[in-house]
Amino acid sequence: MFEARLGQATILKKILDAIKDLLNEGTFDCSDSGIQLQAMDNSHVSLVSLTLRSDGFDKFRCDRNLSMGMNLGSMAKILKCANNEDNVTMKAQDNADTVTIMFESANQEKVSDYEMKLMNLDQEHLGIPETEYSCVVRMPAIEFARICRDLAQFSESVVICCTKEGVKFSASGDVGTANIKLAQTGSVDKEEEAVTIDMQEPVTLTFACRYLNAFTKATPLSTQVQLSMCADVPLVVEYAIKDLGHIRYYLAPKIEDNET
Amino acid sequence: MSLQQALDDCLIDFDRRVLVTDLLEEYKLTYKEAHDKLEAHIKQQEKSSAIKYEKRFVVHGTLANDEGELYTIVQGDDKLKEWLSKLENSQYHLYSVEVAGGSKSAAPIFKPMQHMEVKLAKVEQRSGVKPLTNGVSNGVHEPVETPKPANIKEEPSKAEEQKKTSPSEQKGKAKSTTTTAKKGSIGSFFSAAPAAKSQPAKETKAAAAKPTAGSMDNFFKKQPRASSSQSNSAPKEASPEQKNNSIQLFAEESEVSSDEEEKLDKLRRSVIGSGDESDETDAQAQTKHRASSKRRRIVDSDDEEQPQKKAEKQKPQQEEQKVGQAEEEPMDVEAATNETFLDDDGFVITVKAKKPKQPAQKKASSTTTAATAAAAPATKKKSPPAAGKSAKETPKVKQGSITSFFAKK
Repeated sequence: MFEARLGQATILKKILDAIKDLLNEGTFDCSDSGIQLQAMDNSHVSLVSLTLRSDGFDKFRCDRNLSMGMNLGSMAKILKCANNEDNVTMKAQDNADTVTIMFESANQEKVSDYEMKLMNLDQEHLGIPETEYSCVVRMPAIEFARICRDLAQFSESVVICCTKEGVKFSASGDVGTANIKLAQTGSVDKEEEAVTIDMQEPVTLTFACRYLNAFTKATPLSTQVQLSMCADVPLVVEYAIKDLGHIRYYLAPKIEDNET
Repeated sequence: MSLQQALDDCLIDFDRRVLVTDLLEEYKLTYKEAHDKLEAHIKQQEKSSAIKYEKRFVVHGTLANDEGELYTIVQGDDKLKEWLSKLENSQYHLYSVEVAGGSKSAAPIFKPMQHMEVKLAKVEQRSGVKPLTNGVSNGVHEPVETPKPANIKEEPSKAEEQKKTSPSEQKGKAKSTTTTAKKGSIGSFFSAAPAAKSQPAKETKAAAAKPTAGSMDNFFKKQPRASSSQSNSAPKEASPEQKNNSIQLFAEESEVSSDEEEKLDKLRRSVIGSGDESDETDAQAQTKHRASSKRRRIVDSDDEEQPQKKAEKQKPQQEEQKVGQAEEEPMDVEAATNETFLDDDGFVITVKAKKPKQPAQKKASSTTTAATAAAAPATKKKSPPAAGKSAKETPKVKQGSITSFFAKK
C-alpha cells in the first residue's frame, strides 16, 4: 500500500509543470524514504532528478517499494482539476496498475478522486557520481529564467563563464552578441535576491538554451536556483522544494567537435 | 506623347525653327493632323500672347517657261502668294514655324524626312495601320526618294545597334535588380548567398513566365529566328542587286507577324514589370534562407572552408556572367523589336524618343554592371571576415549526451 498526502496541491502542480515539458513519461519510485523520479529527456541530453522526501508529506506510507510509471501529461491534466489549496493524496495498492489521486477541499466539503492508469516503463537509471563542482552559483531563480529567455533570442547556445568577478552568460548569433554579467552581491536584505558564487577554479561551459529554458519551468518552486559547474561535467541546475526535497536538472555541455 | 500635349506643355521650342517634317517624324502623325494642330496652336498663341509666328512654306510647281519642276521654300504669306502666282500647277504646304524674329538657328536648307518610310513599314507590321495615313502624302519627301534606299540601308544597322544596346540595358536592369536584392539583404553576408544569387534569376524567370507561361518559350525560340532573319537581311542588303529593293526588306521584316510582335511587346512589358515583384520575392526568399544560412554558417564555420566557399560563390557568379553573355544576343533582339510599338492611345512609340536616352541608359547599364562588379567584390571582402568572426565566436560544438557522463546503474 502506498499513500502520500500533501497539504497543498499547488506544489504537486508546480512539480509536474516543471518536468512535463522535458519528459513525457516518468517512473515515480516510491520507498519509505520518499518519492524519487529520474529520467532523461527524449534526446538524452538532460536528466531530471526529483526527490520528495517522505518527511515533507503530511502523511506518507509506503509498505513496499513501488514504481509507478505515469504519463506526465495525463497526470498534469488531473492535477489541473485541483484547486491550489486542496489537499492531494496519492494512493496505490501494491502491484496495482492504477493510481488514485484524490483532492479534498480545505473544509472537506468537496472531495474528488481521479484514477489514472499506470504504465510499465523500462527506464534506465543512471548513477550520478558525487562531484565536487568548481563553481557553484546561487542566484534568484527569476533572474536565471530571465537571462535564459533573453539569451535564447540571440543564439541556440549560452556560454556560462564563472570567474572570481562573477558569472557571465553570453550568447552570440546572427543578431549580435549578448553578455549578461552578474557579480556576487555584497549584502542584500532579502536572501532570495542574493547572488553568491563559490569558486574553486574558473569554468567556461556552453549549454543549449533550449534545455535551460525548460529547466526554468521550475522557477515557481523556488526563489533561488543553484548552478553547479565543473569542466567537462554536466551542469546541475537545482531548485529546492521547500521542506519537501528538490528537483535537479543535469545538462550535458556542448563540446568542441574535433572530428570534423 | 502626342503633339497636342507637347504643344500644350510648351515642349516645342518655337524660338528655333520647328520643321513640320520633324514633327511628323517625332509624333507619327499625318501631315493633316500635324498641320491642323500646329495651326490651331499658332492661332491660339497669337491671340492670347500676341506672339507672332513666322511661317515658311514649301512650294512645288512647274516654271512658266517650262524649265522644269521646282521646289522652293518661301517665307511668309506674301512671298508664298508671289511664288504661287509665278508657278504653274503649284501647290504648297506649311514647312516650318518659328517665333518671328526670335529664331536662333535656321534650318539652312530643305530638310526632308529621313526615317519615315522605314518606320511606317514597321508600324504596318505591328499594328496593321496603313502607312499612307501617316503623312507620306504630304508630297514633301517625294524629291528625295532616290536617297531613301540609302537611308533604308542604314536603318537596319541602326536597328541592330539598338538591338545590341537595349538588351544590355535590360540585362543591366536585371543585374541591378539582383544586386539591389543582394545589397539590401543580410543574407548576402552569410554562406547561403550563392543560393540566393541563383534564386532571383529563377524567380524573375518564373515571374515572367507566370502570365504567359506558354508564350515565353515561343518568345525565346522566336527571338533568335528574328535576329537571324535580320542579320541575314544585312548581307542581303549589301549585295548590289538588292540594295534598292526596299520591298524585299519589308517582306523580310514582315516575316514576324504583327500579332506576334505585339505579343512580344506585351511579354517584354510584363517581364520588365515583374522586376519589382521579383525583387520583393527575392527579398522574401532571402529572408526564408536566413534560417538555413544560419545553420550553414555554423556548420561551415571552419576557416579552411572559407576559400572553398569563396570559390563556390565565384563559380555561380562566373556561370551567371556566362549565361548573361549567352543571353545577351537574344535579349538584344527582344529589346530592338520593342523599339517601335503602338501605345494604348493608338500612338506609335518610336525608337527616336528613346534614342537620346539609350546612350545614357547604356552608360547606366554599364555603370550598374560596374557597380555590381564593384559591389560583388565588396560583399566578398566583407563576408569572409564576418564568417571568420562567427567561426571564432561560435566554435564548432556538438551537443554531448548525458549518458556519456553518467553510467547506467
